[in-house]
Amino acid sequence: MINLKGFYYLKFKQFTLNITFNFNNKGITFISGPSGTGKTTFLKCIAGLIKPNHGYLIINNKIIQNSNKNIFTPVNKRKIGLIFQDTYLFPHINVIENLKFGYNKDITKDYIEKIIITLKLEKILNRMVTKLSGGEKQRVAIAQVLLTKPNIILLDEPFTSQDFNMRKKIITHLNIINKKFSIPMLCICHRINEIHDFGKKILYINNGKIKHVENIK
Amino acid sequence: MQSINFQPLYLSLQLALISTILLILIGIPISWWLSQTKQNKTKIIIETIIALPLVIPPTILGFYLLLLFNQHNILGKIWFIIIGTKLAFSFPGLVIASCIYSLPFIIQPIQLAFEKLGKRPIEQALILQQSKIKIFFKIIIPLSKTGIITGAILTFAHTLGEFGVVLMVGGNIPGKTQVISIAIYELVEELNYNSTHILSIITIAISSLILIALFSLNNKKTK
Repeated sequence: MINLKGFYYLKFKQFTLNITFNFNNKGITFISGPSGTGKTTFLKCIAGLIKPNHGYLIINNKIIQNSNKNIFTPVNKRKIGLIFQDTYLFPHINVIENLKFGYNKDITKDYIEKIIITLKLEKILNRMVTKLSGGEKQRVAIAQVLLTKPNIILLDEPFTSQDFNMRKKIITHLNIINKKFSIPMLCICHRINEIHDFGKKILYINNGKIKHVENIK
Repeated sequence: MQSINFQPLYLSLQLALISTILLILIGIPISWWLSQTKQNKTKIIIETIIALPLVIPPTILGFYLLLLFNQHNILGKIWFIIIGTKLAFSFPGLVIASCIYSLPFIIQPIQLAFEKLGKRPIEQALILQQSKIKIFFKIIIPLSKTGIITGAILTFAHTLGEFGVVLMVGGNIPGKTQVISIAIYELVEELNYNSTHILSIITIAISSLILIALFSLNNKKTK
């Protein structure tokens, strides 16, 4: 069970978000809500890419950030994976080198193979990333994050630029990963009807607050 | 046929090569700092100082550098204490002067390349839990390769063609500070057109090759 307790205030957005919730590694927890309610900012704050003017973040009772005590764990020390809406892979190296870039020292060969097989990357390992399709890029990005052995994976609308079939495939992959690797996932998604079969919980955010929580059976 | 002295050409190539290497090492961190710093007074002042050699006459820059290199002034004095030789009218003096004179030619292309990268590669690499040093050398530098090579080529070419600054700081000492542009000037004064033609054509050929390399690189980049 992951316990996440957070509050942030961003001066430039005049925006306050106050969130406390628990989520576990069984199933994906989805976040939904109208545009401009701070969903992406919320994920970036958790990941450490945005430093709020005021705020705190506690994950599993560990203080990740506390502006009053001047605590701010840097992004690369948080062990939080973030998959962006616009997939970015390093264009000057091929797929395998992209994957190697994020290797965690503790991972085993079996774990690497398991990820490569789960995400069906065997045939594209030596391809340059500029020659990959949108779906392939997305899968490589997911594998890249998995190889860092994160404690949580955050996904910022990973399905937006994909067609229906690709969205289904990606959700299926995420679900398999969630089950196989037991990594909790927090995912922003707009198409609630498509994720109903896979989600565990849906948090509806509006005006910086959780308005409604829907548990999916 | 009169023998031609190629020493000034070697000296020019040597000066251009050393200056370029030093400027790459100095230019990368400065360009990175400039690309990552928001517009403020300090940044404006530093950018102005760096770009100054582009607009002021080389003789003015050379004059003040000559004063600075004088043994009675700060830089010349420090140099004399550490190295034990005079900085003015010496090859090391020429190298320092060339580095200052060519600084904008290395900084601007590299700064532009760093700025064009944007935040995404860095954010992605940080998310992958990598250290800032590794991100800089494995991601930022390779992705900015074209800008760095462009800067290096421009610096090399610019140093090769220097006249005013090197004349003021280095004078015209054969084998020591007499670079190709000064040697050609002297040959013209002596009405030795034959040697002037040969040295000029070689210099034009080298400069043309440098420009061909630069444009080929830019063409490759836009493809």
